Amino acid sequence: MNPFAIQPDAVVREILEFNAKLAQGLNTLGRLGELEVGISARDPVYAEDKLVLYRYRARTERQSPVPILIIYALVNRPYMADLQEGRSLIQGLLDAGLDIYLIDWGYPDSADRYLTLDDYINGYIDRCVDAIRKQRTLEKINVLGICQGGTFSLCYTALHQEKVKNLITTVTPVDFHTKNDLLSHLARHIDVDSCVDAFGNMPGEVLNWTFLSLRPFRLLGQKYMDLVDILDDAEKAANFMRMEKWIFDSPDQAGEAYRQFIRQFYQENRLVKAAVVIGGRTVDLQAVTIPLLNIYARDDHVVPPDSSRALAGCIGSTDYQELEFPGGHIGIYVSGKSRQMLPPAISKWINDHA
Amino acid sequence: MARSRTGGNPKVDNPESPRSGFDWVEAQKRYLDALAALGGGLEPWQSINPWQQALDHWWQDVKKTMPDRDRAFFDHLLQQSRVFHGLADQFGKSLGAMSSTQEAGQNWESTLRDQIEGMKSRAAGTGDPALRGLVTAWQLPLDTWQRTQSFLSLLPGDPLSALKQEPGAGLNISPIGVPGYTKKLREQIHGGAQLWDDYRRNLQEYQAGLATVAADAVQRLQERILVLGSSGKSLGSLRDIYDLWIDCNEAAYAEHVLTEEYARRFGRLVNSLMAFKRHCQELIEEALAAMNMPTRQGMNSVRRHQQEMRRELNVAAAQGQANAESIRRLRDELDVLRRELSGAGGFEEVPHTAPRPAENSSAGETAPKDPLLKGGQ
Repeated sequence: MNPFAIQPDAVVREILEFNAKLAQGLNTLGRLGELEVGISARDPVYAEDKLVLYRYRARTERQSPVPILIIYALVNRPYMADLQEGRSLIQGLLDAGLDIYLIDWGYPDSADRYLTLDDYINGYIDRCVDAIRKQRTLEKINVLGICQGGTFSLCYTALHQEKVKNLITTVTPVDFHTKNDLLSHLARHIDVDSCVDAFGNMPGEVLNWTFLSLRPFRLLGQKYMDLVDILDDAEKAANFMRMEKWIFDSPDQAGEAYRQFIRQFYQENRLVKAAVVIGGRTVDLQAVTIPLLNIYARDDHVVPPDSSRALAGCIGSTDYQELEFPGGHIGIYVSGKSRQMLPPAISKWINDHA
Repeated sequence: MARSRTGGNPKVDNPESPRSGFDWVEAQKRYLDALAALGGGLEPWQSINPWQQALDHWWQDVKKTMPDRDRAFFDHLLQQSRVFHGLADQFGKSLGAMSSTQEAGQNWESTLRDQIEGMKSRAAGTGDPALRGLVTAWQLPLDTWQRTQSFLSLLPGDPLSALKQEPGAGLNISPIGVPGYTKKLREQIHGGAQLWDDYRRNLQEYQAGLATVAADAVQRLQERILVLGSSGKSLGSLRDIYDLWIDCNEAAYAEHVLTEEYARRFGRLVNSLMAFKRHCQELIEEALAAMNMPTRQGMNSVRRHQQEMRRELNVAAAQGQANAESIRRLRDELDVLRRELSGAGGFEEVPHTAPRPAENSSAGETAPKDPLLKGGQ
């Protein structure tokens, strides 16, 4: 059977409609104005160099006694977790009565060229954890890591478990050599020393383009065709442009930390071999024996599910749970499904492990 | 400490960041500008159908009144629309042909195969202008790299910029037969030319690899359409064809990227460009050093030293905090001991070395506090 159920006159109609939408969309885009991102009220509670530790203001009368520290990736900006009203993981967690802190890494510049993973994990993260523990008079706090921030959270917990009560990892790469890991594949034969020596700090634009090249036809082509379909709706268009803003807001990466991360994690896959060395100490995930909730995205093209799920075979904890989110690497934070699924699940798990 | 941010006016993500007021649209514009430059080898698009022509005419009028950054974004939308129009142009003809062959009871599959073979043979981008819109899409992976490369533009004083146009073209620029510095400079320029040639070779190899992806994607499109036909499913719109075509491209690309051969080719491409960039940096370093100006190497030494000092400060601060905590505990212990001894009756208060505050001498106060310790708590 001929699968083309399209008449030639319908083709003409479709093209004309498409062109009309495109032309009308010009007005919609022109009227959008300034796009707001990061909607939840928060206060800085600790700052160091370019890092700022924020505490979000409560949205419920009662809050859980042990706060959660969110550790975001060094790549892109953390407002992805608090993008806009109704599309905010942080808002959902606050509404679930959780007490949320977040590390904003800022924008590294040439003065940060020699920051290492030791500086980030045993330095910045540890001092943020200490600041919260001191402020709240607590021995331990909960930690939630996002993407690369999840990998950092695992390393931190392996090295400083006495300060962490429960750990939640989301879309976190653990095994960097799984079969479908495009990003890892691209990094495999790159001379990272040469890159860092040439660039100093790794430009955010280069990383951004690398991410886009993982799915170039969708992310650089089809996505904009989808935009044409929603250009008659100002709200949907604004949502689209907020995401664009986030995608193109890419901080540079501190050169030395980048060099170490690419080599030890992406190229040599040391995390699953208990061979990552940070600040002279070996990271062995078997040392992680606290309760751990590992959330991964079923359709993740940046961190394949298998990469995250490898955690089960690496940690020492017997209290380990997995949660599969039916979506992608970004949808896990901004989609409607996420809002319905993640905050209640995280809140329940935290309360069960209070 | 950064200013507090409330939910009321969260327009800027981090008000005290160096990118406060960061113009993301401008960043996107740079990105899209590079899309136009991707080009490198592509000829400018020419409208090949009335739909695209109408849109182009409209855009020529409208864009004059638009701010630059909005214009850049919309330009990109139009660029993508050309891909869509390119598909419409290709499949519009085929749809008519297949419709007539079906009515005549002939095999629509052979018409589709002819169509696909035509697309494959022209996938390289030469020839039929009707396919240029599609070729633009096939260049998207390479476009990403082109942008990366354009980002690597060297300093204004790029001593090898002339070589970047044509490999080896700059070798005759330097004076011949002059000893000393000039001889060394010639060798350096020659070395740079070799590195640039090396990069160009790797880029060509990379491009050739992508060309096979384009052909593979078209082949997949044919197979998917045939499967749809045999399973009784249908494509109801041009957009359905476009989405299917995108799926086929992504699938072909992903499979290609995941090969060891591709990983090595990509590695060679990046590494050869980095080698060229570093070579140029060395030349610039020498020039700066000769003028007694700050060099990259010198700045790196300063930055490394600065980072070491940061670490030392953090260690000292942590040590200071730990010391303060120890002193506080000792003082608490001392207070307890004093109270215990005082309660036992036979205790004579130990003279304190620090000046005793007036309020501590009041009646009933047996455990004076040391004002020197207050700051350490």
